[in-house]
Amino acid sequence: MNGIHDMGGMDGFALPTRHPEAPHFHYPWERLVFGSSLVMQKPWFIDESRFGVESIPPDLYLTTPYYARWLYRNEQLAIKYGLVTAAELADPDSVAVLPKAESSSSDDVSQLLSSMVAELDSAEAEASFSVGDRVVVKNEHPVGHTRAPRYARGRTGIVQRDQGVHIFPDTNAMGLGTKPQHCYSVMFEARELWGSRANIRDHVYIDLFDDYLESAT
Amino acid sequence: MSNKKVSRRRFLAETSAAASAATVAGAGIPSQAAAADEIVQSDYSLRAKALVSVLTKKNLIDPAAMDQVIDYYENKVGPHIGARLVARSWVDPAFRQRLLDDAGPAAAELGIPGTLNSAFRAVANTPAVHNLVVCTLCSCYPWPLLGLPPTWYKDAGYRARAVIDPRDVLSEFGLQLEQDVEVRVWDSTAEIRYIVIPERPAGTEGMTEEALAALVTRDSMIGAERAKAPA
Repeated sequence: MNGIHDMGGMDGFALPTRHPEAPHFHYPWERLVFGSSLVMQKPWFIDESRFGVESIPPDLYLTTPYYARWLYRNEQLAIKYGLVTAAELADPDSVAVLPKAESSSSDDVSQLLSSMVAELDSAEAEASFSVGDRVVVKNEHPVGHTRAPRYARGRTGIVQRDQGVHIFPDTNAMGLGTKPQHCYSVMFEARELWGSRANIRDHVYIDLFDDYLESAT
Repeated sequence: MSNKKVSRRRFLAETSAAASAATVAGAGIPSQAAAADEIVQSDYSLRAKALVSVLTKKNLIDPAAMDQVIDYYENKVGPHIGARLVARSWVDPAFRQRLLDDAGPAAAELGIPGTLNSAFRAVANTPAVHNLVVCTLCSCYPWPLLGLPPTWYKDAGYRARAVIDPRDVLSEFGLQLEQDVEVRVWDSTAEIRYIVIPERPAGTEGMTEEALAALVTRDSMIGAERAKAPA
C-alpha cells in the first residue's frame, strides 16, 4: 500500500538526536507491549504484523509512538483472529481465567518466542536474474502489503548479490501463501533515484524480490 | 467496575484531545503539554495491560516466558556482541573475509546465538567507502548482533532522509565525509540484516581484541559515526 510508513525520500522531518545511552523502553507499558508481541500465541506472521502497523491511518501513525503502533496492531489482529473481543479488552475483569498452563523456561530465549516467520513452502525457486543483470523495479502500486519502496519503483539498478530463496511478503501478509522466490541486493545509483540532488558517487542498495523486478532493456 | 473502566478510558481520550488542542492552539505552556502526554501514556498503559491481561487469562501469553524475553532483549543482547565481531575482523583478515562473505556463519563461529536461522550481511567501511544502514519501511535491525534498535533509528526523520540525503544526515550526526568518499546506503527492505564494520582507528596497533571491541560503538555499526579513537 502507498502508506505513510513508506517514507524514504520524504522532506520535512527533523533529524532525531542520537542518544548513545538512551533506554530501550521509556515507559513500563512499552516493555509490556514489546514482550507480549514476542511471546503471544498467534496465528499470524511477521509480514502480516508489518501490514498491521502500515494499516494505521497516516495521521495517527505519525502521532503514535513506536510501541503504541505495535499495541494498535496487536489489538486489531487479536480481534480479527478472534483471540479477544473488543468487549473483553474494555473489561478484562470479565474474562474468566482458564486453568493455568505450565510456565516455560529456557536458557535459549528463541525457544520462548512465538513463531514469527512462516515455513517456506519450498526452498527451491527459479532465479529470474543473475548478478550483474540490469533490472527495473516494476511500477506497481498494490493496495496490500509490499516491500518494494515507492522511491525505487520504475528505477533501474544492477543485481549485486543473490540473497537466496525467501518468503514473498506481499502474498504471505495477505494469507495467500509464501510463494518462495529469490531476493536480490540491487544497487541503484543515487542519481537514478534522486536526480541531481544526489552525489554522483553514491549508491543505494535495496533488497528486492524476484516478482518486483523485470529485465531492463 | 466495568462501566467505571470504560468511562475512564473515554475520559482519558477526550481529555487528551482537548489538552492537545489547547497546546496546538498556542496556549502551549510546557506544563500543559506534559500533562497531556501523561494522559496519553496512561491510556497506552491501560490498553497494554488490558490486552496482556486477557491473553494471559486465555493462556495465550506465558508471563514467565514474557519476563525472560524482555530481560534478554533489554539486558543481555546488545552492541557488545557486534563489537566482538568487528574487533575480530580487525585482527584476523581470514575471519574478516568470512564475515564479509556470509556474516551469519562467521558470527556463529564466535558462539553468537541466533545468527544461523536468518541472513546477516556485514559491509565494511574503507577510506574510499562509507556504509549507512536504514529501514525506510519500518525498523529492521540485526537484533542478535546489536540488540534492539535505538529510538533515533526508528524515527521518521532518519528513515525519510537517510536514503536521499545521507551526507547531510551524517554531517548533522557529526561525521564529515570527504567529497571523494562513496556513500552506500543499505535499505533493509527484506529479511537480510546489515551490520557496518567501521574502519579500525589509527593508533590501535598492538591493542588486544577486547580493548579494540571497547572502541566499537553501537552507532558505528549502523554507520552513523566512526569507531572511537583510543584514549
